[in-house]
This record gives sequence, C-alpha cells and structure tokens, in this order.
Amino acid sequence: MKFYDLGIKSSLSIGQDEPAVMLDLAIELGYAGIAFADFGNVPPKAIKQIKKEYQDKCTLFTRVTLTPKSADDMKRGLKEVQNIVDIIAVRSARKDKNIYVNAILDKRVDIISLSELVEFDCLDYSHFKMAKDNGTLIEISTRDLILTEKFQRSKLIRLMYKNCEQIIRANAPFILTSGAESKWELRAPKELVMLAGLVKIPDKQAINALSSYPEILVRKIQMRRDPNYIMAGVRIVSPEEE
Amino acid sequence: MNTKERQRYLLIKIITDGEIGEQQLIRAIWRSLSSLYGEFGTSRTGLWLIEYERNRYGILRTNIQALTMVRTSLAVIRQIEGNNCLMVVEGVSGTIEALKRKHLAKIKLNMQEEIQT
Repeated sequence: MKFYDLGIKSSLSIGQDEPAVMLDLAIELGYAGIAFADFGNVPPKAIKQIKKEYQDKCTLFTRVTLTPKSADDMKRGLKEVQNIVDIIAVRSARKDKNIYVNAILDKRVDIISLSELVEFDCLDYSHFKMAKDNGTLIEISTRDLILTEKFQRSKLIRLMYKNCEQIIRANAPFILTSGAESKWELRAPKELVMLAGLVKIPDKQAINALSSYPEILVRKIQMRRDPNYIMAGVRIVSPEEE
Repeated sequence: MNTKERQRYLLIKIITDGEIGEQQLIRAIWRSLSSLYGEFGTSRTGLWLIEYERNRYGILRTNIQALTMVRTSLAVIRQIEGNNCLMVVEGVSGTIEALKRKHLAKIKLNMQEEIQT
C-alpha cells in the first residue's frame, strides 16, 4: 500500500526546512509520494532538480493553496495557476461558504482545504455531499492537533469531530495531511491514522484517506500530464482507441 | 477468572536534534497522555518504559486497551525539554522477544549503516 502526504510546506515558501530534508524524512517514514504546497509565488521549476533526483524513491507533486477573498478572486487565481502546478487547493481562512461552494463546483479545484478552527466551523453535510458528487477531495490537516494545546485543542477536536462525522456520513472523499512546515511536524502514516482516531475517523477510512483517495488524485494528475488532455472530461482520442 | 491484564510492547524510534534522557522521555509521554486523556485516562494505560537506547529507540509496555491512547499521545509529542523530537512506532507485539526479533534488528541495522556513513 502506498501512502501520500499531499500538504507539506518547505523553505521554498513559509516552511523551515529544505525540500530535500523533508523529503528524506518523508521517505524514511514510509511515504511513496508527497506534495509541496509552496507554489503560490514560487515557480514549480524550483524543485525540478529534486524531482529528478528522487524520482525512484518518492513521487513529488507541486501544489498551490489559494486563499481567495471572494469567489471572483478565486477564479482569477485559478486562471493564473491552473496550468502551472499539479494540485490546486482552496481554503477560505474565514467563515465564507460562498468561496467553498464555488470551489467545490469548479472542476479545476482538486482539494478543499480544512485546517484552521474557523474553517472546520464553516461547512456542513450538504457541502460534503456536493464535494462527493463533483469528485472534489476534502483535506483534513492534522497539524493543529499537534500544535495546539489545552482549550484550543479540545475546541478543535470537537469541531473536527463534527465535520468528520458529516464527511463520513456524506461518503465524501477526503485526505489526511500533516500540513508540516518543518520536518519535526511530519508524521508517519500510522501516526496520522492515530491522530484521525482522535476525531473518531475509523482506522480503515483514515488509511483510505492516506492511500486510496490520494491515489485517485495522482491518477487525475497523470491524466492531466497526458499531451492529449484538453480539460476535465475532454481528451483527444486516437482512431485506434475509439 | 483470569484478571491479569494483557500487555502490548511498542518499539518506538526516536528522531531528535538534541539529547533526550530516559526521565525526560517518560515525563514527556506522561505529560502528553495526561494532556490528551486526563489523569483518569492515563491511569488506565499501565505505561512503563522497559528499555531505552539514548536518542535511538525505546520499548514501552502498555495495556492492550490503552494501545491507541498511547500511540496517539506519542504522535502528538513534538518537543522534549526544548529539543525537537519525532517518535515513530516501529512495531507492536505481545512479547518483548517477538518485538525485538521482528523490528529491533531493522533499527540496529539502520544504526550501523548510519555509523558507517
């Protein structure tokens, strides 16, 4: 079984450690693929060399996490990055359901990111059902479970639990990520499964969130890299294939 | 009626950028357990540090019912006495012998490779 952590930040953006340092540890922890979420302003070429070096050990993806102020702002952002990075994630960082609804309905968006307290308090069952129907992944970052303490942590666990319960009820695809910004925040897949247990995500579904669902996205990325790919659902088909 | 508690042994690999003593390690684990599950929850774990190779690995013993609690608490630890720290559960077994046979050899082999390089 291959495990993926699709939400790591390195020193290319706000992270503390070099991509290679994080990559070495991720491989040691048992990941087959990771995505660096550094590529808002940084060109993906920055990891071209590392990608080459590590291609036999670990698959590398480039990801951008958009934090738009409005739905229009999101669309502008998507236009800019859609052909540059492998994965596009959207988060609102505030209680704005409109951004999330637009992101879920937009085929260019791969991931709806939930990591902060306010974001977990934003979506409900109907949104997750919509995400399921549109094939958009929900990202649950466990970073704040590690970083927060006492009252903040208990509040976070409660909100995450309420959200995760609805995600599971809606049968929406979701991924677990460490959201690590330094190598010390990385966690092995089994440790992430344990952290997911804190918010009552069953082990089996947590494992799927680290392997099966990310693999769906990986296949989608590979499909996009295909020269015959035009847009979501549209691909040039050769006469033989037909 | 058999009242003996069933135990599980965990082999944890420790990755750190500083020096972590035995007492510091066990105190950090207890603190993490207590912070997540409270004093009552912690009392149910029957946690014991059986063996510790400084900054390399440790063997913990716990009740079978508290295994998930202990593993979660280990995942939450990120610093011990100011040193960055990451704990990875390499294996779980019902006996120390089986644990060492199955998993410790792998860690020791890695340690040797590290020393050689």
